Amino acid sequence: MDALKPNVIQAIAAELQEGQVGDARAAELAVEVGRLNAAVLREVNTLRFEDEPGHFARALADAAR
Amino acid sequence: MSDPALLDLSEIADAIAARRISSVEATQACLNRIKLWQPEVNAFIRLDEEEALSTAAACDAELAAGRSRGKLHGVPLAHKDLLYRKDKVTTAGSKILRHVKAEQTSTLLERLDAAGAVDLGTLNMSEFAAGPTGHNVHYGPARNPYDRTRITGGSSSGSGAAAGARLVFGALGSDTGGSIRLPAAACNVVGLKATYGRISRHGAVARSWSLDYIGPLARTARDCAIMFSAIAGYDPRDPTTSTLPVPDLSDLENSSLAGLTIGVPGDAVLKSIDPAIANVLQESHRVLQERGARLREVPFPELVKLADIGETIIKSEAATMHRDWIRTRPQDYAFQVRVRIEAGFYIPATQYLDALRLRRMLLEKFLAETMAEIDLLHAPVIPFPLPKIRETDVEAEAGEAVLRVVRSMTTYTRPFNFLGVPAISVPCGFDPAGLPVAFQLIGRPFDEALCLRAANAYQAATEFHRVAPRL
Repeated sequence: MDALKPNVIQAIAAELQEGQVGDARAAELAVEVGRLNAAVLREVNTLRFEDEPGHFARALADAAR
Repeated sequence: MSDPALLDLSEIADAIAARRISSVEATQACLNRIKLWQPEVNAFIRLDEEEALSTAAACDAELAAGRSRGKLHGVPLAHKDLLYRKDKVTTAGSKILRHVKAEQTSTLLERLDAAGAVDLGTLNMSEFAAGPTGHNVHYGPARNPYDRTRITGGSSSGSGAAAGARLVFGALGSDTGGSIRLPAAACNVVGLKATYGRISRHGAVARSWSLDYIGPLARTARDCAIMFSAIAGYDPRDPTTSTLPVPDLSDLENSSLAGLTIGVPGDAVLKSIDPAIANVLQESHRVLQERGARLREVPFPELVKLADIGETIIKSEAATMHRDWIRTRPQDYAFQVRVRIEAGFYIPATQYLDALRLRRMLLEKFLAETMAEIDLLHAPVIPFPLPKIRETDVEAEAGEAVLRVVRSMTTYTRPFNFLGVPAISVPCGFDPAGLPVAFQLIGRPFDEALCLRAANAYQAATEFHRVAPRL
């Protein structure tokens, strides 16, 4: 689905080995995280290099004027 | 005077100011009603009867001495149990905080105290503000005043139930994905989620720092405007609050819909929701037009996309906040709450940061593509008839069942938390089973005033909000 998904699966697998999550739950988590990651990744190419998280508050204020 | 608790906030405020009724009498009327209704709706977690009557008596003494603190002077309210009050327990609907006393008072409770409001106690809520239905395994679910087998909506479940059942004249709730607007819609009251940064969150238990909003639920837009005016504005203790001035809403009575252009969804959206709800929403279109608004069909934003990117932020931030307790006390969380937090531990930091970076771009896209030619956007709140409490009890089911309920309830609310824009939920009728239906009006950033004015003008032309539930 995306380049980061294997990392996520590895993280979940590691916790699974440590007995922190069960098989079924690990599968659910992988699906859920994969879906959310895909939603973000589909949009990232619209970002500019200089975009920062803090620019959102300024965009709200600018739109109010 | 018949039961004073049946007056709305504006009316009781005027009556107290004119000394036609005392604050003590108004408070006692609420307490009498709470005793009748609490076993039915489970709206309160804690009732502070003696303190409320004492505050009310002090308010009466001030008025007798010729001093008024403003519109809320002596008016009984109660609030979602996530706002700190020094030396009092704030449970956030959780087992984990059940005995933890706050070390400080939240900015909003301080502002309401300063405005002379009487605080009746703390209101039920979904555990840690996570859950759109109002279920709570620790304190029991709040039940809908209009049909006690049905959900109140959540997470501000007690705020919706208390305001809807006329137990209080207004209540604060919080909204991370719809948690003010859903219970407002389900319990036939108005609920306002303001712009991100308009209202302080200092001293409130957080669900997601980037997507949390606190705001009022009350029977009318005019009532919400009074509470909004008392709590909104810059707070040095919450660095995310804006320094933009809070609008003067004292002339709300003169509001009109004439000349406003309101965007409405096309057939595709209306066909995707329950036909009974769509019929009620279309009738509200007709009323808005009759009162002078122009309706214009506009492209809706991509709701699923916005909700999913927002969920990336919620999960990441909630996992960060709850990490220690999830490790050490997982058994003290409801399954349906823990399951929604857990995925946050597996979201890469880069994804979280990109979700935050996308907010500016997607806000600008929304303003350019959806809002460019309109003043307000009209949208559903809950797109199907209110389910029964047992139908949405997913505590014993798989994680996917939990997520399915969350997604279906918040389809039309969650995207506007991500976009940061103001949205108000307004009662607009009843479905064939007699259950409340509401629409949202979504505004431009920091234009809560227009949301409130339009909602007030709509309520001046309709009577739905005046239909009280019966015991």
